[in-house]
Amino acid sequence: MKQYMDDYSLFEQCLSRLEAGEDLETILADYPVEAGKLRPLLTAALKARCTGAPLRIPASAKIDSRTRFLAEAGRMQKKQHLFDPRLRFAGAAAMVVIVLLAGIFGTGLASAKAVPGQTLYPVKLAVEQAQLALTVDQPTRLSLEEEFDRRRVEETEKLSLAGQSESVTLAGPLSLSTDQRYAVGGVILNLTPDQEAIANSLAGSYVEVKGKVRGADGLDVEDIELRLFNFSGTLNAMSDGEWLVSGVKVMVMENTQITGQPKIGKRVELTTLHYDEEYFLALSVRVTGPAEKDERPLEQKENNGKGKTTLVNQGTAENESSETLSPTQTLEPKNPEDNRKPEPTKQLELDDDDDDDDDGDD
Amino acid sequence: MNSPELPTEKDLDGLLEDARHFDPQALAALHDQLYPHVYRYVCYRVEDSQVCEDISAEVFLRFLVVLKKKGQNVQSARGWLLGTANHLVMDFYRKKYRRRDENLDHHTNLPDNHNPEQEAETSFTLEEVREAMHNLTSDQQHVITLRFSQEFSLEETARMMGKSINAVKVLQYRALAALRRQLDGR
Repeated sequence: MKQYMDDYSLFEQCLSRLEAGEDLETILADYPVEAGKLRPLLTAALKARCTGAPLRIPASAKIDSRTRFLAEAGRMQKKQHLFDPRLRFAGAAAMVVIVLLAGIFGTGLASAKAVPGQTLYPVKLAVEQAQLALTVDQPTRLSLEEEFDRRRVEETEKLSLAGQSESVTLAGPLSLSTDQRYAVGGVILNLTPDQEAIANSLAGSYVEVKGKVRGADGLDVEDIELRLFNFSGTLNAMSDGEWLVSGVKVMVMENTQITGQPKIGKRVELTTLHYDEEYFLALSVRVTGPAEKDERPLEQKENNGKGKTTLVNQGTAENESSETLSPTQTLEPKNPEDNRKPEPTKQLELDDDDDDDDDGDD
Repeated sequence: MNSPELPTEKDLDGLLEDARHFDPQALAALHDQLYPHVYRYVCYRVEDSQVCEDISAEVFLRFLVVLKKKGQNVQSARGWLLGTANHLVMDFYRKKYRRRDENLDHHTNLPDNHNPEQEAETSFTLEEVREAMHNLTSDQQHVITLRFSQEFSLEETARMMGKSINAVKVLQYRALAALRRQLDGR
């Protein structure tokens, strides 16, 4: 072992001498015994080394790189600032909620894979609700809702693959499968003729479906409706038929029911349909007043005794107004008045699934 | 042969501290001081100067992500940047060889701004070494590039690779033995 170490050190010594400008033959002459071993390695080193001649660095390359580097740094920092004041609070609050929930149910992230019927499933839904309640950025919140909808579809697919029978609610775009049957995601819907007629009129729309999974046979539908997204925010911009509400693009049609005088900067509440990836289509808009500027801190309200948390967030800076979104599941267009009320939640039922012990935890 | 503008590790540590707070001046200084090292490193391994520029710039963009996320873990900015340059170069070749199977022999575009005669000689050897290096391990390629692209000392190399001096001695010995075998086999 020592012998090997010596070889390595000797080689390093020769390398240093080469670097210092000594001639290869002079160096090797000092180590006649090892010369045979050293020579091929040192010639390889010389070959590798002579290519290391100073290379001119194009000034333009350096400047380009610096520009991109600083621009990206600025962008990242801006993002950080944008989120900073509130997010610290929201992040802390979210942690508290999650830790509490995890404590109550003695679970943690184990619930993430739970499917309906499992003991941990309500925890998963509760964590999602907490996430929604603590997300102040409107576009993020809406995409979070869609993300959760996708999870419902995936869970149903899992149940179906596992051949289980369970009541579920899921949402997503209604599509026609290759064998001309209606489906949401990969879940085939079993429809009665009446429901089939409804589905025909809803094809392509973002729908909500309630029913019972029957293993691989698909989902026996009990109810199929348009999925509505209710949210409120500040009207940022208005142009021909297109509004921007707290960063969300909304199409406003002639027959959109508008209550009040919409003006930029005012707070509006909307009931919308998911039109496409980018746009929501407003069914009704209610102008609820100017952007609120009072400095009330974030407060959380407990609603209807079920543990659902709604974050009422009064804006702290100009243009950042109160944004309250109830992740509701209204199944028919409502009088906008109703949208203010917290819905009985579709998901957060912390206390009714616990006795289902037919299948264990993950 | 050492680059005259080599900043000391101490200078860099100070800058790194400020860069962690995204101080634009510190970031710009860090970039400007270390860009030459990264660029030389990448050019030693990759022939196409446009690819060199792209990889070098990408190395710095990734550096920002690490500064933001887990800045505490970066011990040596230069070590991190050159280590990342190594990975990106390895990735580049992986993708390149997956894409094509033509031989490389006619791919010897000369870099700009050089004395053409000396250039032809140097470039030929460089191309040989580059190709021979492809079959070495990632660490072997990294150690050869660090030691020979801009002649970092054994100590600097060990620090940048996060290894002991003895480990680097062994590594470089084996790397050159492997390189020798590859050059002989050509």
